[in-house]
Amino acid sequence: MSDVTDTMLNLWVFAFVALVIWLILKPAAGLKKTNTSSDNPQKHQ
Amino acid sequence: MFKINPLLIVALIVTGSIAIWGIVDTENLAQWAAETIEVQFSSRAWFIMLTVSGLLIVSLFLAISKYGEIKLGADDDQPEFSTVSWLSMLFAAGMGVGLLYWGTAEPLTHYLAVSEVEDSRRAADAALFITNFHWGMHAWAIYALTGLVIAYFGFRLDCPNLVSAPLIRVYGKSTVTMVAGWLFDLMAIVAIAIGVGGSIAMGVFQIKGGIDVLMDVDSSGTSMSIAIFLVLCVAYTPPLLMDLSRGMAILSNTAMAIACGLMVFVLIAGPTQFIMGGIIGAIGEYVSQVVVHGFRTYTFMDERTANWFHEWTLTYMVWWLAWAPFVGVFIARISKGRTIREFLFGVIVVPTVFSIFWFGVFGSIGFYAALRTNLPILELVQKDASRVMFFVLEQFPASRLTISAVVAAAFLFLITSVVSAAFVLGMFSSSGSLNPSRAVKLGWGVILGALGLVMILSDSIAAIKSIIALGALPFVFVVTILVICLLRALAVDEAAAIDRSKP
Repeated sequence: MSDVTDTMLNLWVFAFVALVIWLILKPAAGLKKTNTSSDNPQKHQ
Repeated sequence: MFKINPLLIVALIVTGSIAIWGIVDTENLAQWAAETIEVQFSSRAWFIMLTVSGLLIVSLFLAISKYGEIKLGADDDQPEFSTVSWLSMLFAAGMGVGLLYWGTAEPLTHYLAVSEVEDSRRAADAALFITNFHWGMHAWAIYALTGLVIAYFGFRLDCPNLVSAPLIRVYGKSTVTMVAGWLFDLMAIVAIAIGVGGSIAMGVFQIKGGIDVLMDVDSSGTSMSIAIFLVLCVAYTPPLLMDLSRGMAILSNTAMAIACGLMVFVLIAGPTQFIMGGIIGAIGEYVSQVVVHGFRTYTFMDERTANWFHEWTLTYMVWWLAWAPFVGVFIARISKGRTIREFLFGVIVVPTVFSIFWFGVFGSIGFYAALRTNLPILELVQKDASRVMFFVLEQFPASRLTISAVVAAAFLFLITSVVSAAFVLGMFSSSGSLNPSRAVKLGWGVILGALGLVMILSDSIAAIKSIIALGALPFVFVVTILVICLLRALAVDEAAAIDRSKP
């Protein structure tokens, strides 16, 4: 395997690591504080 | 009206194309898979080992932290199954036929490799440790976290049972999350289909080895394997058409009972002191080396060692990733009502202890044959790994009975795997429906069979491993993102728990 291929493949991984860090820092738009007791009427909507 | 799901169509086209390519030109597919996976392994080994070790560390953190008290379900849900039944089912789902195939063969294969560079007695310890590493906590952490994500989002947050659901739930519905989620589901389907196809082939080779020994023949070529495969297809079709979830649990528990019975039989009827010594030594080796080995990449070793690392350790880790969505869904389904702590200790620690005993018994008996007697077991390992377990059993009384039991257990493990996998694939490709249609399940049964046939035609365990690794590799990235989603959701859940506890 050439060094160029090796570098390219690893750049993809580094890009992925950057994505993971971004996902950790990004506001989670879909999450609200969760009330999960079984009597919560919103749970089954 | 019958609704066509685009994901189902694309998934069937992708997996079907791989199957057709493999049937038309098996050698070409196997060679392409081997070359491609070698490039991936050579440059990304560090990332794969970092990911699996990271998954184990996150699992242990969640288990001992305050998040461990969160329930998989509503706060007042209770577990559906007894703890013993739960442990038995999850173990059968996670390991199955591989245990029978590799019980003695894997420690001896590593022994042959290690003994070239180390003293033979030290090599046996190292070989047993490496085997336990491959089947131990790292493997189960992959299953556990995938299962935990599916169970948490499914039972606690009422999301659909899809790999894409956590991403969409956490980051909201947008074009990016919808497209990424769709790709996640597709990657999970491809990984499961190819992974289970590989297990079908391995199981068929194992059954063939047993039948050869029982009938005292040496059937070369693939005709016997294909005959066994056809019987298997006939056996797994009826359960696909009926709802046999309870029956499947019985079959899976029977196979586990046979496997446990064999282990106890070999321990008692064999050189008990030698085997117990092997098990205790293996526990010490595992505890003292497991963390360091999880980060080992063999970067400064020679090419031969690096190749061995790619062929075994990396391939195993990717193999567990291939099975993770399938086993994860199964484990999630049977774990409703348990706390995260209970779930993680049950899924990671208990099966690892069982694996150490299993390989301790069957590995030690293999070393006993190789080091203390003059039996030609090491030659057999090199020639045909699928016959090693039967060779060991032939040295014991009532060998025809025990060999038949292994063949029966392998057959049962295979049927339960294929039927469960067809169900999970059907579920994933029907928008998370818990009742996929018979036509969809049957379609997946056919695809799984075709992929199994491809692997059988390759007639090579190495080729099977390469194809599975290639199918599952993208899932390394998916699992990482799923875990991020879980941690983000847990942080909010914990905050909610604190809010509720306030007066």
